[in-house]
Amino acid sequence: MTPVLSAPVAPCVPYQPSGTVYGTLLNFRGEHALWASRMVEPPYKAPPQAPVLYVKTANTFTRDCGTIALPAGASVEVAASLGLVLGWPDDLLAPAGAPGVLGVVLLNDVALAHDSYYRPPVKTRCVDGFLGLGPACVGLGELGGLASLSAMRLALHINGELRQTTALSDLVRDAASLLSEVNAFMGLRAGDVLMLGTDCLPDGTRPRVKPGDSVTISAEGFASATHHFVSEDLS
Amino acid sequence: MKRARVAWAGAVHDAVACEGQLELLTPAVRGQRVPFEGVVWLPPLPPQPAQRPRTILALGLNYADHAKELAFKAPEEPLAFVKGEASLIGHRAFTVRPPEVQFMHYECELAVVIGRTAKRVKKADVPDPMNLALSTTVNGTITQQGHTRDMIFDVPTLIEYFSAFMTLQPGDLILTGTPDGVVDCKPGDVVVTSIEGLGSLENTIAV
Repeated sequence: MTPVLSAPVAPCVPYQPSGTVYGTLLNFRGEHALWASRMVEPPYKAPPQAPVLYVKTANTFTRDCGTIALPAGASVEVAASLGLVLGWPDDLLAPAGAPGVLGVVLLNDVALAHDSYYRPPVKTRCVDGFLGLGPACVGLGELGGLASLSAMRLALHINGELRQTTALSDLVRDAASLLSEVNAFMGLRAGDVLMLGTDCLPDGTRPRVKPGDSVTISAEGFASATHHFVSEDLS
Repeated sequence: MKRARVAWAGAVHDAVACEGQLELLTPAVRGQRVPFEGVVWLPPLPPQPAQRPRTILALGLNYADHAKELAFKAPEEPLAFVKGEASLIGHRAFTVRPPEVQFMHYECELAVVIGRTAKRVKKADVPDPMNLALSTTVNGTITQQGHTRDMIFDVPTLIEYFSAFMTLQPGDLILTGTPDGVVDCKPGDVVVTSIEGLGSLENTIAV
């Protein structure tokens, strides 16, 4: 019997963003509808016209299988999302121009629970470790292109129990629209990541975690992302 | 010592100010002096390590007079937002007024560059920058005058606040907010922001 020769395995370098990571608020129809009546009241006064973005700063990046520390006494939410990773194809002869979507990464967007979207959410979303990264940036071609993302479903498990399924068919702005509307006022650069947003549960909340929990985000075509939550070590 | 990062003769160089000129620090041309007008000024920051995008925190309403100008009451805790690194431009660079914008203004701000990793820093351990006068001119007319002593949250307080929940790394920036006196800027306007002891930064709204 002829032995099966396996191809050399490339060393596994877990993905980490090299640019700015932008999150998107209110990009799922369910949450947008829950918020509709509040959008016209003070302090918001009118629904947003452009995508509402926030930044996940570099101190939030937690690689796949890493641990995320929970501040003492805080209510912390987890949420599944996809991030579009901007870049140019690995081809020196590629035409110059604005970078396109090179690939997509699974993300666990962690936040301190908050019920106002009025002020920029630095204190709630930029806590050390609060962005769980998937293991790899999956090439857009392997996923069937930007339009095919709308057919995708993201699963969020806590300690093995399914807690939320996010259907990307429920996006207010799909990947192509979001990208184009963001690029209309802000040039995204190679290495930047644009998150499509996160959905809420039917009651408007998001799943909460406590020390000892393990959260796994998964979707077809992606290796899943798991992060372990622990108590903050204040020593 | 004032440091610069410039493009000159087809390459990027670190430089220091020396007797009214820039002295280049690149080994091959070390000691070469070039006039201020002979270079393209880049943001005066060393490049970030790979996989570590720069964090740029900016303060809203950190001067009581400006908070009043914008009809807000003074915030009870720092009101921060984050800017992407792509937003940085250098001295004498052009910035764009997007179409259909109704009001676009400069904000003269003291920016703090983090020098070493900062996590759970106490404000007593942070040096407070001196009291510095700041001012802005638009097309030569003074529009903004203030003083860093009038910040609601001073630099040590800000570093204690942010580093309590986020670890700051060398090269990260904190933009400490602006006093009152912002006016709408149109294409072609030349905006010069100045801070005592630091110098002047000139930018033009692109036509």
